[in-house]
This record gives sequence, structure tokens and C-alpha cells, in this order.
Amino acid sequence: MFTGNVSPARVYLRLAILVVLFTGLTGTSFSVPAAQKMQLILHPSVQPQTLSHTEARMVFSARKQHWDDGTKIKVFVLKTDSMLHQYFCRQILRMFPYQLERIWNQITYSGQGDSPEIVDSQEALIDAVYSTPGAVGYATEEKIEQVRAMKDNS
Amino acid sequence: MKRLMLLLGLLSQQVFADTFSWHGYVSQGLTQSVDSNFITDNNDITGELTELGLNGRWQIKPSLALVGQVNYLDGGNRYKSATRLDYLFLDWQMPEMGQWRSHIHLGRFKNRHWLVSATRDVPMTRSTAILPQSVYFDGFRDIALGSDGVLVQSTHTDDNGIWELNWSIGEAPINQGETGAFLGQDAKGEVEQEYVHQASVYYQPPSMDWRLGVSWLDSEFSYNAAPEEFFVNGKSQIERLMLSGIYFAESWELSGELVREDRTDTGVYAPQFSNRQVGQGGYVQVRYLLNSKVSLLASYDTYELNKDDPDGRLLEAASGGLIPSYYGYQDTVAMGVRWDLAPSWRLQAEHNWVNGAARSTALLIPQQVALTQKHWRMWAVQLMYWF
Repeated sequence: MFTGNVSPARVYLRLAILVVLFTGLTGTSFSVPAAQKMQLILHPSVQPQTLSHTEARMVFSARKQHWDDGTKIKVFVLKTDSMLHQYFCRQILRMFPYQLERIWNQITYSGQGDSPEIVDSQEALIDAVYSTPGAVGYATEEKIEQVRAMKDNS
Repeated sequence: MKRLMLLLGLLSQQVFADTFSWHGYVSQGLTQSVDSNFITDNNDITGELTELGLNGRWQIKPSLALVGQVNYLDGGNRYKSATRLDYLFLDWQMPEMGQWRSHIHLGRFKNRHWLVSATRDVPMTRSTAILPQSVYFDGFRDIALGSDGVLVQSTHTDDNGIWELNWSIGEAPINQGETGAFLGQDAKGEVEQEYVHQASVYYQPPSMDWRLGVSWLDSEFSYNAAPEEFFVNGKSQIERLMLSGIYFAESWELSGELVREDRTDTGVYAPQFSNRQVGQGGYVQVRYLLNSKVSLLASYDTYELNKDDPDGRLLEAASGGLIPSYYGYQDTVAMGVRWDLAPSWRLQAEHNWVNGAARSTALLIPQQVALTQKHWRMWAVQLMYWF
């Protein structure tokens, strides 16, 4: 492809076009939803029902793996390439998603703990947190209200 | 009775599920070294790039766990292919003191002192299949991975950032392949690591966008010569100082480590022999994320066997011309690409262009003089899956 009398500048141009095309074919953008109101959710057995910014970061990066009463912390997250997960990492944890994923892998494969459980949707995440003692996760306020309303009506 | 058995079965299954977890990884690749036998002989392309691992964690109680990992590694000529007990230790979480959370690892623990030392054999945690040899020399892979002994890790997290302190002492069993890495394949005796003592400290600010650390290592090796061979008994004392750092940005990251290795050898060649030399080097890597699935990597790695002989002329002269000067240094430029095909699936490829051969052979007696050219290269393509 790059043989013959092709100048280096043209080779670099072709390479750049290939990279752009490849990026477009395989990628998702880094943009995040505007003004999402996100909320941490905790199983009702967890006390207190709030986490400071530092505590949330310790829990989601597996530096804290048990609550103060000894209950194991079970973390639920959405798929790492989902918009909401990326937004949660940046806005709540103030980390980049790839940083968090690397920490999980390092902790899991060096014997220091378990990585979070990944679920497919916000509804599944909210259900999982409310039905698992010691669980923690996140969702938009709107979705939490929707799930609550559905449960109240059923 | 049947109901009782069923209930007990369900109960034990639930307890087991709550207290035991396991994970693993599978990786297979193709690789080649050209004009060097560092990975393959005769410039062959090989599938000898296999990494398999299975680990388990049994949480005995909230403050105590038993964890272990078994792996099988095949890296061509880089290290001995075998099944290994990678780690097996008791993880005891000590009571929290003034926001300091501490863990004691007792048994065969992982080296947590360098940027990727704890998971250097876990393919999806590395930037490249072949790590920068200045710091992560494959000849000493098993020795640098971990030790049998005790490690204490303490972290302090608050609104001012994260401090991490690590201290460990232990020793690593050394196989015949690593004896060869030390003295060349003609060595018939045994190398033993008497001890390895390490400490490190890392800091990460509240912004979480960088992490910086320093580490120190002190280790002593002894050589017990076989009754009839060229070598005699001897010792080697190694002190290593390192500076490690990583910076995270939205679409790129920069990481690097500098190493200074002070080594004193006594005996081995002759009873009265003594030699001290200081090696130094380091690497810098830039990863650019094209998007959340694809990233590109560029890396530069450099190492001098003796800082007072950066171009290897003294080495060549001391060997009477037997060892070429380019065995005194090694500079490597690498380019790579990573593609996350699907969750837990990754394809990674890299190409390394190398000038010099300091890390391609035995530490003390270069054996592969005829087998590595001054300029050589290597590449690897790896498909990996983890669960």
C-alpha cells in the first residue's frame, strides 16, 4: 500500500485518514449528558444513608470493602462504556473511567478484593442495590423516582 | 430429612457465594524477535505468548481473607515457561488508626512497590506485552514479582489526597532458568536469594490526576558453585532506587519510572574478585485514547549497565573484545495499539525497535554475543479475555 514513489507526507496523510475512519467505526464519544442529577443509592440496611465525596471514592475504588458494622460492601455499576457510568466517574468520583477500570483490574488480579458487579440498566441496578444487603450504586434521580412509583403502584 | 439436607445445601451454597470469589484471565498471542534470540530462536514467529491465570479469595471474616493465584506463563526465551503459584497469602486488615487503613500480607505476596509490579503477568493490566526492560527485566521476572515473607500496606485517604506506604521483607525461590539469567547457561551451581527488603511511598492528590512515588530495594544473592565448574562461590548485593509517576488526562496518560541499580559482586569468577557498578535507566510512555475503546501507545526505554561506561567501551575492552560494546546499553522505542473489542475482550499489538543488548542476556556473563545484533526488533500481538 505504501510502496513505490509515494511521498512520506502522503503516507502520513493516508495513515491519519485511516486512524480517523477507524475511530469513527469503533468509538463512542467522550461527551456526557448535560445537567444529569445523579444520586448514590444504598441498601436500606447501610447506615448512615449518605457518603461523603471521599468515602464514595474509597468505596467505588475498592479501598473500603466493608461497612463499619462488618457487612461486605457490594458495588453495582453500569457498563463501563455507558454514558451514565462515564458521567458518574467524572462528576461524582472525579476520575476518568479508564482510571477506575484499571484500579479494579489491579485489585482483582493481585488478590486485594473484587471488582464491582456490572448490570445492564438503571432499573436493574436500582433493583440490585435495594435487594442486596450492603449494596451501593448510582442512578439518576428521575429513574429512582420512576422505579419507586412503579413499586408503589404494583 | 431430605428437606433439612436441601436447606443445609442451599445455606452452605449461599455462605460460600458470600465468602468466596474467583476470577481469571486467558491470553494468547503471536510474537517474534528479529536479529536477537531474546524471544525466539532463528527469527521464528511463535505462539509462545500464553498467559493463563485463576485466582480465588476466601473471606474468612471481615478482617481476614486467604487469597491465591495460579498461573501458566509462556514467553518464549524471555523466562521459563511453567505453571506457577503466583501468590498465596493471608490478608489481615488491621483496625483503622487515625484514618490509616493497613493490611498485612503473610505468605507469598505480590511486589506492590513499582507501578505495575503487582500485576505484570496479568495481560490486561499492562500497557505492552513486553514491559520496559530497564525496570521490568524479564530475566528476573519471578524474583521481582513477589516474595515469601511479609508485606505491610497502609493507606491514608482524606480530602487532601491519598498516601500509600508499603514495606516488605522476604525471599524468592530461584529456578535454574534464573540462575542462567544471572550467570549464563553454563552455570552449574545454584543462586539463592538471601533476602529482599523493600519500601515505597506514593501520593495521589484530591484531583486524582497524578500519582508519584519513590521506592527502595535491598537484596543479597549468593552463588553456591557446583564441585566441578568454572565459577566459585560468591555473592551479589543489589540496591535499587526508583522514582515512579503517572499523569492522567481526559484522553491521554503519561507514565514513567527511573531506576538506579547499585550492584557489588564478590567471588563467582575468582575467590578474590570484587566489582561494583551502578546501572541506570528508565522509561516514559504516552497513551492516547482515540475513544473509549481504542488507544495508541508510544514508549521510550533506556538502560546503561554501568553509568561510567554508557557506550560499553570499557566492557568490550575488559572482555578482550569478546563482548561487543553494545552489550553495555539498550535503548528501545515502542509503538502500540489497543482495541477493546467487547467488555472483557481486548486485542493489543506492539512493535519494539531496539539499539543495544544490555537486557537481552545474562547479567554477569553475556552468553548470547553471537545471537543479538546491535540493532534488533521484536513485536507481539495478543488477544485476551478476563472474567
